[in-house]
Amino acid sequence: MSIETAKHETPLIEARNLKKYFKIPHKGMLHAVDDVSFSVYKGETLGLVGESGCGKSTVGNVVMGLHSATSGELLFKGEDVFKARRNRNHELYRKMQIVFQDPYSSLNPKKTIKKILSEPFLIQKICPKGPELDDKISELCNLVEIPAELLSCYPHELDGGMRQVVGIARALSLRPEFIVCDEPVSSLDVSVQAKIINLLMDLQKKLDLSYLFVSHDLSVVKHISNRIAVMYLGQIVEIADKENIFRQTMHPYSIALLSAIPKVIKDDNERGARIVLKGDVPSPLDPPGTCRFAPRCWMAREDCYTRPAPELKEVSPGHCVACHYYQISREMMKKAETANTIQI
Amino acid sequence: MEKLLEVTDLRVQFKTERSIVNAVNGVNLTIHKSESLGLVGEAGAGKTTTAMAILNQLANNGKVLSGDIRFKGESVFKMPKRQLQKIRGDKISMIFQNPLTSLNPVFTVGEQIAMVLRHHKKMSAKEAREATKELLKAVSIPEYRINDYPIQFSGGMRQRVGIAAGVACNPELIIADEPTTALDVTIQAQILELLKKMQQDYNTSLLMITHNLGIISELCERVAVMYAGRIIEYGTAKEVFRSPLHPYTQGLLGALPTLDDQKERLTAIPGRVANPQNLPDGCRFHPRCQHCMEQCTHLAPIMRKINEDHYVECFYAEESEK
Repeated sequence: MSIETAKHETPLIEARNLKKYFKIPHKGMLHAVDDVSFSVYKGETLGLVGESGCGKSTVGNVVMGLHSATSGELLFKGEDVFKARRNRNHELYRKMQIVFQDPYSSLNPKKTIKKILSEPFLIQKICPKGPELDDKISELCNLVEIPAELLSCYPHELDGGMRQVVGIARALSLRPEFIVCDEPVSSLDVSVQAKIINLLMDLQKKLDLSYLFVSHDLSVVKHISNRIAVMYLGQIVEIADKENIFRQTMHPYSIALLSAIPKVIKDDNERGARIVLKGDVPSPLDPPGTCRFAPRCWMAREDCYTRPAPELKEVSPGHCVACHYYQISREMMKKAETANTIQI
Repeated sequence: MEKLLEVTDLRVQFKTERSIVNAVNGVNLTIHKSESLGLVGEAGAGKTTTAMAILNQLANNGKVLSGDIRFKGESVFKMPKRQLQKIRGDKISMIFQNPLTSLNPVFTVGEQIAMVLRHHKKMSAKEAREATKELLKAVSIPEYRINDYPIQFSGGMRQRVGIAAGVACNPELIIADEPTTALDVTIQAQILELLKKMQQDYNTSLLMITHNLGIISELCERVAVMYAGRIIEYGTAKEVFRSPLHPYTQGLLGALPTLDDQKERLTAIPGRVANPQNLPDGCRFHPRCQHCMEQCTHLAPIMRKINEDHYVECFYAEESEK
């Protein structure tokens, strides 16, 4: 779905100025998510990438209500989600589900797979125990291809990939429209990872699902997403169509992130420049009001440290960047390419 | 080129209470001087076990069934313990996956790096401290942090301390066991650049163990692909990644989402990684192989030379190359 056509309809999920601060005793306020806005349209996947500690999982958790937001709004088909949650609107719970990162700790080790899969139906009082429930579960198993004999197993008897399939089946049980996938493949081996990604994409087509796909692995995100948002220190620094993110990268952090990924080189001249960022991600405790990326930025100028933080603004249709000097970043990158690798 | 390390027909078995685990089943490997070799494979392929066997540091329940590992012509299994200890950390050093558990939390990083120098190079405390400062500078950690404890460092910096300690004695071989798996991409890029630089500056050989094909492609000249305790394909990284011959290597490359090409669908390898407690007969990969032939189910293929830069262990690849 292109951004142009998408803009006319109401998004399925819309986050407006979401903030989540954690109070750290004696140290200050940790700005995990700081003023994040995005929308996810029907049938679309929005990828959320960033390094550890940038707040991408917190965004997922706030959207799911696992953390309460400090401020901001979240709309599901135009309806206020936070308000609905306060009123215990169970209808809405069904529409939004989550798949967790670690399939080892997200399944209860004391329950069989069948019990794990029947819980959503029982909790939401959709059907009582009995043949009807059994039918629902076997339907679910057919959908994601869990062999029936595994239903009586415990989670520890399954391998990582199968466990993640159970996690996905559980999320699908109530026929949601929107699923948060929080690093669903990062703990799996490459060959198993491919299977799960294929499954998620097939299910999306079959059931017209929308995903918020949180991951640190850019190549996985690129494969599965329609649009991608890059996060740094609690803020979205760039958001665009996946083609634009990769071809027209504008934010210096996104450029560095893309260049940092080790690639399988098949041709000799395939490898471009690598921009190695200096230092580590700074602490999100009481961040400065200036650009948060400036201390690590490879093209920072003096005024980046003094001007108020750049806002996320639309620079071409559907492409938003938060950088004072986004116009010259590609030129700077070209210069870097001729100098081969630059190290700062 | 001078052979630095030679592994021949290595077989390692672990005994657990319930079962016998055949972790390594006949690995042959040669590392030449100042060469970088990547060892790639999925979890449970026997990569780390091979590395641990090189230092003769297998866990107590591990047993070398057959084979030999020669470092500069001398077998590490026959070496007296004292001589082996001299080699570890001095001639062969290891960089571990998790820098938090591989550094001792109760010593400062300066003390830990100096310890290596004092033990192997018999330096005085003062000399070692000066040398440590130089090493920290080489891995771009500011000198004043020499008295800090590992807990005060971030993950990337801890790994740089691990590398500083690893190269302290100017080893001839560095074994890096998934050195960047626990780190973020931008930090990973820092560490990879550092390893590359260290390898060039000190003219060291490198054995890089990882499951990330991209890292191997960028850092290593040669690559060995491991599956179920055997090396199934070996050659220059360029050759192997450009024209992989073994169905497993082809599968791995197809399963990898990449940034540049437009794969509609990833090709998942069917089935699951062979269970080392109960390995299949014949070719270990045959239950998952789409080119499986009759002989694959009962005959184990042996390593064949395709050309100077490429070796493969597969009946199908041999036939199709003919």
